[in-house]
Amino acid sequence: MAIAGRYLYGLIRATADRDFGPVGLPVVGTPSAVHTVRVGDIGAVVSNFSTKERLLPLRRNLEPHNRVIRDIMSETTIIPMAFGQVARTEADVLKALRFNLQAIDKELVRLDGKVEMTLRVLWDVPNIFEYLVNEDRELARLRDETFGRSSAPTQAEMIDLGKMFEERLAFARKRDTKRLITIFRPHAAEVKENDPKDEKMVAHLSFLVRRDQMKTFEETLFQAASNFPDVYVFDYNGPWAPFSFVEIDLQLESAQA
Amino acid sequence: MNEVLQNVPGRAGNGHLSRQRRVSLCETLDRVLNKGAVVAGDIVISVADVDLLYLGVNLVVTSVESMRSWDPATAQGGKGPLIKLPTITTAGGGK
Repeated sequence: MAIAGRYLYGLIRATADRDFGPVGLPVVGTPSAVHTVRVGDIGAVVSNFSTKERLLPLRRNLEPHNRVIRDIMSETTIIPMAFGQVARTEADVLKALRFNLQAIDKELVRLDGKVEMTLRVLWDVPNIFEYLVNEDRELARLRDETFGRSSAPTQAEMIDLGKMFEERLAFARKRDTKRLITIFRPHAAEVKENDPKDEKMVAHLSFLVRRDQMKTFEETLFQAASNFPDVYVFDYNGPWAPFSFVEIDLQLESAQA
Repeated sequence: MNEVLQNVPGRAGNGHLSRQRRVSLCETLDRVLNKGAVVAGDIVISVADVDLLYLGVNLVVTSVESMRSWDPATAQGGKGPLIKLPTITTAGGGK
């Protein structure tokens, strides 16, 4: 499956054409030149791209995609594109920009001067079930009733216990997430809740933080970590380009034009 | 390099606070593959496989734990192991 066209990294404000050098996805092993394709003061960051194979999320492709976005975000606001977006021609890029010019402009204003920070809060316990049982007398009683008899628990009893555990887990997450958001809300322009992907994860939050608020944001992190119980681990990283806060997709159809 | 990628745990009062000094590959993949703007419409030609690719993301991310030594900050394109996407070839029902 051969592919040829313009690989898209992101969208930026640019009043003149920009040249970012040979730092793009490799074409036949050679890094491609990254530059802008512009309409007005909106620039799409692109590089010429072609491959005889499929475009796969291999390290050699992901790394330049990520690096271009990261380097540009250190100097200006970028709406990052997801990996693997290729326009057939430069004319198609221009068309996409024209159709979406207002939306892109609005998005760049919204995201201007802001970065994304990620916070995961985890229960640092060997066994989350045990931890919750120890925290919750009612759950402990049901556990003892279910397993404390001489006969093996029935499936229905096990399900009841499992349900109560799930409820308590969900309750604890909701309670702690609410507390976290209350703490961080004043220091972030926007907050997004992501689903915890791990049973020991209390909360997985993304914050859109103004660069000039980064210091207070980090201070708040330290403060919050010290106010939570010992078993809570705060794991944070960033700054990222605002991947989680991008709300536009580039429509090629004229529906919104 | 593994050391660089480890969380650097610090204690701040009661709760632990840790910061990943260098961003893990998982974090990068989660964003680059799952988030960010996409182009809708026929402009996209490569993304014929994007559904398959997305199906593969979770697998990539889970298998990635073993390759944490990849440091996006210093990695040079093309060197080292490639990220294999098992579902690209097997997930026929994806699209």
